[in-house]
Amino acid sequence: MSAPSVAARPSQPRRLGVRTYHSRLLLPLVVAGILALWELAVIITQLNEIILPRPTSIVRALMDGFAAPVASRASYFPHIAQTLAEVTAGYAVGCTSGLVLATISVRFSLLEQLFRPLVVAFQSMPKIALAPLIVVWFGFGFNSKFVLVILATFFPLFVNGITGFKSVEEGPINLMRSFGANRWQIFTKVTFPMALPYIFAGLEIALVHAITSAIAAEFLGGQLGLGVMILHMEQLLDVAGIFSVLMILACLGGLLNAGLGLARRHIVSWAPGESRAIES
Amino acid sequence: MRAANNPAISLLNALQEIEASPGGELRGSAIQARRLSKMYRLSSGDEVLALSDASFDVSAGEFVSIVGPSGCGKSTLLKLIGGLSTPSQGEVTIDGRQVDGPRRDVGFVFQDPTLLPWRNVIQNAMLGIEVLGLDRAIYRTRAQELIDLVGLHGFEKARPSELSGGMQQRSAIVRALLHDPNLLLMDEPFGALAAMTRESMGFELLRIWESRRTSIVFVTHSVPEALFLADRVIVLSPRPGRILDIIPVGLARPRELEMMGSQDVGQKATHIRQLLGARGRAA
Repeated sequence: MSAPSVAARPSQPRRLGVRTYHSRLLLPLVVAGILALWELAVIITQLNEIILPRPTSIVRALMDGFAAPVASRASYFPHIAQTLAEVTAGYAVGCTSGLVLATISVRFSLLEQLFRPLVVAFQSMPKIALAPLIVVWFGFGFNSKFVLVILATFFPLFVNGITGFKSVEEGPINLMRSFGANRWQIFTKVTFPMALPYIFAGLEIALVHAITSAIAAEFLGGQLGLGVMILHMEQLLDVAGIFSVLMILACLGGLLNAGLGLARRHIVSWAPGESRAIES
Repeated sequence: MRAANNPAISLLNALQEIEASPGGELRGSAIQARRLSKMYRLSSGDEVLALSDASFDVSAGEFVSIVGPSGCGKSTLLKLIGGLSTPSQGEVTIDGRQVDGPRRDVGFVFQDPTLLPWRNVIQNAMLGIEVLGLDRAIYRTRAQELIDLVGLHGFEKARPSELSGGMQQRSAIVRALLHDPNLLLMDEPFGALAAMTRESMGFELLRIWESRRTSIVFVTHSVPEALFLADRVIVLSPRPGRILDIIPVGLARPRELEMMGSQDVGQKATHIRQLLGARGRAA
């Protein structure tokens, strides 16, 4: 039986320079055109806004949500803060523990032989399926979301960490040994930096998993969170509201991803395909 | 016999060593290799003899080349001297002390420059200094001197990917020299370079060696390169590597390219090629 290939490869070279001045202008125009058509279509067909709200209604829902007093139930801010807290806390703990365990596993090969099959088996299972169980164990509050995000982010970092640490060639290791370097020096000065492209690929996957599982856990219930909001709005048939929350989620995910991409480009600018523009 | 046997002279040497500070006069290490053999166990469980019964000496400040066909155990021999690998039989001593691991007075240059891609030239050069825990401020100044010496001035902040193959190897040589090793072990350092670059790198290496007098063991598969650089050439047989002959080159220093055209050098080159089993006749 062949082992499934579970590690994500470091990201491919990005095609820069493709976006020209014209397409920069074109994109907003196209989006504006689509929104205008959408607005018109809903008005002309007199479609019920419970099925498809007009873009202007979505904007109004957004404005209402942000304008409402922060302490009130209608305000979006406490929900955004809650989801953001679940995602970032779970992400930090999950990614760190995944990397730490990967480091230990690479150091002690017996541990890796022990862990790896378990991890691969567990990794193929969708973590979201665990959400109801985790709610039973940890309740409807912050903790259940936090735990699910940890589970979802642990595996990408564990697997990519191991793959990255093992991708290091013999040459630099021998070089370090020739200077009499100890294991810790070899790890910090060579193995870990060498593995960074793999680790960042893992961090990017983990980020998507983190947001998905936080929202999924919130769907099961709770007091606060963007998923909880969507659930309430669904019961009130406030479809424009649902759309507005989806837009917040898209922005949140986009921002977090952009931050991570910025960090990656800054930290692993040496990796092939990272700083160089277009090849082939 | 050797100067070291005379107590008065060895005392003088010792005094000179005490005076030698970083950047001051250096001395080369003396190597004794006695009946070295190395056996590798393959993953199939079979054992392969890479090196068999190799004995030779390198005296202090000497430049010795090792030639042999690929896979003859040249690199294995170098790793044994440098303490990166342990012999299955026999022993190596450097300055009278048995080698049982990497030593801090040895510098390595590999065929691949093995520069860390996220470090620039200066930072790569400083790697050994950081690992050895030496004073960074002092050695940073020295790194700059060495960078100037190998002709990398102006490229201190360049990353390896911005350098040519020759410049990368120069950078690796700076790294190997920075902690003032008494012995430089070079494993086909110019093997991946173009012929022209290779020749000028050879000249530069000799220039550096003549100014610092470290001992050098230089592995190559190029017979002319070995003869041009070394005081003596050790010829290894195909696997299992066995020493076939040790040939004194006997050319004056500093070496010049014209010397390579002499009849004596030609005869020695032919002798080495015959030892290595090259067939056919040159026109």
